[in-house]
Amino acid sequence: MLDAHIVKARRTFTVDVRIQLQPGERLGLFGASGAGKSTILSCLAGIETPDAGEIVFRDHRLFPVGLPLYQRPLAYLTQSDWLFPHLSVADNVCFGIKNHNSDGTKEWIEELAMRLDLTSLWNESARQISGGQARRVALARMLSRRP
Amino acid sequence: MTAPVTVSPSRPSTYVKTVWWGRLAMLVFTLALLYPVVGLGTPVGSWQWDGSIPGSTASAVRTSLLLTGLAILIDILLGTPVAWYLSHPRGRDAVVWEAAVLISVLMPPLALGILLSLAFGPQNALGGWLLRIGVPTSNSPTAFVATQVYVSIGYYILAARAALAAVPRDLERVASLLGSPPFEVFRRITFPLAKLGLAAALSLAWVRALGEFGAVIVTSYYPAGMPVQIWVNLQDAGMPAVMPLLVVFLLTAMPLPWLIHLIAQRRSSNA
Repeated sequence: MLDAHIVKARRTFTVDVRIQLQPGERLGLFGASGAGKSTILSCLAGIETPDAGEIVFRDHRLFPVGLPLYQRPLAYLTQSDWLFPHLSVADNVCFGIKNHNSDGTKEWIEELAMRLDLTSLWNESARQISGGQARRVALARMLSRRP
Repeated sequence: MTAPVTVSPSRPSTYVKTVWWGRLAMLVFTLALLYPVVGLGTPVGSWQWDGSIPGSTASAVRTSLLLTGLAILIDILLGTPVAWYLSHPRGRDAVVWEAAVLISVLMPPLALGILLSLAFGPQNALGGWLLRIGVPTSNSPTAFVATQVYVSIGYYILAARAALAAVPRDLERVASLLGSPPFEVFRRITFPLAKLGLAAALSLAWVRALGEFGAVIVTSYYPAGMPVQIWVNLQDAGMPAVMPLLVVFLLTAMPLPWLIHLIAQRRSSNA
């Protein structure tokens, strides 16, 4: 369950939204460019800190106090790909996996690679792939932890 | 109707000319930069080597390499976390810390040596206490290493800070969002991407510490490192005794930073 009240000042206006989601519910954010959609998501992910409000997600208080990014039980696909350029596609996708031998991990990664059409570039360097391929790798990397 | 787009043919001859002008300019610059090395060929009389020279060349080489190595290790252990902190500013206080590091770099070596000998001297509370617990703060390996750390760590921190700051924060944030705690982010992301710059920082600190004379001669005349020994040789036996030690100095000072730089460059280009 997500219960969030986010207040964040932008240059010319203040984002002030309240979001309540039950397990299984989905929410899409629509609005004009610069309306604050990314700000809301960044605050939920922890990349930006709200000026005021409260964020509780699955019994974890994300704000105030501010749970460190690495302890947040969520996944976030950034607008830019931000692949790790010194690593291969495989190492990028598997970056967040702590236990490679856990049940079903290998199968899940293989499924991601197949469904996102990454098998042919699995061992390529991340800095040598195209923009579209990079987008798919970023998506696979985010999903690899099964958020 | 739009006009057809024409693509002008490539002009390889212009490109080749630019390349050769560039090379020529670099050659002239390099010759001017390395011109002082010509001094090694100056007739100064028969070079004197070790036995006939007051003091010990081998001892000076050993002192310089071992103690400078130790000083650089301390630079890395203390300087890297500081450089990392400065490269991730969290408030206005970063300006104060940067200024402190800059002051240590800007301080003239001789002035630093005098200040160190006063601040750590036996007449001072700290120096007296260190002496009582068996840590002599002048003319000792401890004084030698401490002086080298003081003169070189600022250079290491400033260069390392620039290298670490060049790694995009978004990459570190993405790594954190993927569950990596701060040290793991540094080990797996920040360090590999900054290692070429960190190698340059290490080279700078190494050369700065190994070549230090002004501060070291005040705080630690003994054990004599290579710069002090060169000065002693010059005073006692003249240029013929200086030249061989100068060659040894150049041969020992250059390979390590050069090697580190080459390794970091090769790994970065392979990654």
